[in-house]
Amino acid sequence: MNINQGENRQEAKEAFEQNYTHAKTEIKKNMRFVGLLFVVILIGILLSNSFYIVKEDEIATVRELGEIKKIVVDATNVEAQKQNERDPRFKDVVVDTTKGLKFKIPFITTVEKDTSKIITYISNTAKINTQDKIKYEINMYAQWKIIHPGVFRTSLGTITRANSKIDEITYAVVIEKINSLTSLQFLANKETLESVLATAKDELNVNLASQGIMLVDIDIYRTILPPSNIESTYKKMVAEREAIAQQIRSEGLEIYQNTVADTDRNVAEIKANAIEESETIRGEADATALEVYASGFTKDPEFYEFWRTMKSYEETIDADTVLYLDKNNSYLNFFSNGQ
Amino acid sequence: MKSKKFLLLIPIIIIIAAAVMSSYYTLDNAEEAVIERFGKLHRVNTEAGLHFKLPFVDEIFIVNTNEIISLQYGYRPDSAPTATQAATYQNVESEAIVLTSGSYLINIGAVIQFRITDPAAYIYNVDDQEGTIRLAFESVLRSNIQNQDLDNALINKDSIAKEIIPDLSRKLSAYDLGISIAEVRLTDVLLPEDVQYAYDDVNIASNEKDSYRSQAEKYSNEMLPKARAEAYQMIQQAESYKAEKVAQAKGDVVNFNQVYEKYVLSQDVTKTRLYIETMEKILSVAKEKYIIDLNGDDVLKFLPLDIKGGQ
Repeated sequence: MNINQGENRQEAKEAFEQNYTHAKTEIKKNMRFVGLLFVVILIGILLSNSFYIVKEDEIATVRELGEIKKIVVDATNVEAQKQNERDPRFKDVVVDTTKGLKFKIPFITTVEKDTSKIITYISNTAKINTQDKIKYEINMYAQWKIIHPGVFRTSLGTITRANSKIDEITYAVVIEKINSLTSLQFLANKETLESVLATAKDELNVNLASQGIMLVDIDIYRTILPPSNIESTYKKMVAEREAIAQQIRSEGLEIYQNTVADTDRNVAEIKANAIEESETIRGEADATALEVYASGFTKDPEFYEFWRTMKSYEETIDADTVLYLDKNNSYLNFFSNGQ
Repeated sequence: MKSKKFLLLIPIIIIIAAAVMSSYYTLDNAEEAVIERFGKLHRVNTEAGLHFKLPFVDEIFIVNTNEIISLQYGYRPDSAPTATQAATYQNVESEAIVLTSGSYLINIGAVIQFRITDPAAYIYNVDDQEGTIRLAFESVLRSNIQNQDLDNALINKDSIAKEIIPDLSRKLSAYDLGISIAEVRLTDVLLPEDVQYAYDDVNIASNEKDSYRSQAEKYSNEMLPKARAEAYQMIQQAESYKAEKVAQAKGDVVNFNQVYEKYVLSQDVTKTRLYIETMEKILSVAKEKYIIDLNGDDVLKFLPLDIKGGQ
């Protein structure tokens, strides 16, 4: 079918050979470049492997072929050295308290870094009972830091595991301490609670030193009543206030009634005094009058009787009086007898 | 060839430019720069203006030491106040409800304001600065309110806030956070809504008590002067009775004495005259008068002296 097949094959062969030689020189050229690149990268890797940087907020564990030779810690850290003295396995570990750029043997020395910052642990809500059987729900937090990165790396390894460890032991110790306090001490006496928590912290730190970490502080950040008690507390508060309101109202009524009663009594006293005084005055008046009369009339009692009777007639007989006079009355003497 | 060389120059120019760009920094008057050299704290620069640094080796962290940072407790700001709208807040119920002494419940809103005074300490010493401050603040705030009884907590929020500052400073200095507390304020100390009405009712009862007292005072203010006035009147009446009575007696005696003087001169005549004068007076006053005969037979005879009188 293809008439030009032979000719084509010849052309193809030539093209191939030409391509092949060209490619050969290209590869040779590239090989040189790759080799150079390789060396550069190798030198780069070697160089970058011969130093390390410990940042200001970091601490480091330096191993040589797996063995911990050195730790880099904060300048203020004194606990790390003590830990080395306490644990014979770490007695040869060098404590370096300077940070920044440091050199190491490439590939042989490995560096693991951890944070030098204070780390926060937050607890779950814990139900507690005080000595007097009052229930509360508390939330705790702890501030802790790694004091010996070598020990930390070999025992706990990660911050998550360290938090779990703190959770395990802190919870129990704090709850036990609070159980021995009364609700009044626990809730309303911050000094007592503070010293109890400080004791708990010291006890826990003895345990945690072997894990390379230390608690800076533990504290209860939230204390609240169990949800089921909140409603009844509101009821208690309402009932107490209602009692107070009732007392105030009754006191008001008491004041009113007492004042009214006092006033009534004072009014009665004033009236009684007035009656007494006015009657005394009237009595005096009568007595004085009698005295005056007596002294005036003793001259002639008989005439007085006559004179007073006459006056009395004048006073008592008025227009409406009906008078019946006997004809023998001395007044009518001349009228009746004509002489 | 020229273009190839030029192409080679580009990365070099970029590198030089980057080096120049990262070889200086500027600070304003309130800012401080924490300078790290190879990761290690080199120094803290507090001077404002233009400063040079080693490119790629020095790292700069700029911190504003004048800025007052506020953290809210019990609520969070939703939006800041604008010219046309007040600020809105979101309550955080779980934070706001706080126990007081004697296990009473109260709702709290508080705010802490602080300034970073030691930038290096602030950057390096604590993993989560704000979270740590929040926890410490919550702990100190709640324990100080738990130490108060309910009535105290409701009234003395300023003095409670003042007590919080030293406790919190002590706690934070243990963490070496490098901050100083500018202010702690209790913005809200409120009773839970469920009990508010009962507390309001106590106030109402107090008002009612005052009103009872006023009413009672009104009553006594009305009754006592009235009684005193009446008493005064009674006494004055008695006094006037006395004056009248004595005067009457004296007058009577004077009158009698005058008559008596006449009587002594001629006794019978005067007596008769007095008798007749009296009879005259009384008989002229009385409208009905009869003369009767009591000694006669059994028949009563009478003589009306006045015709009109019989009618």
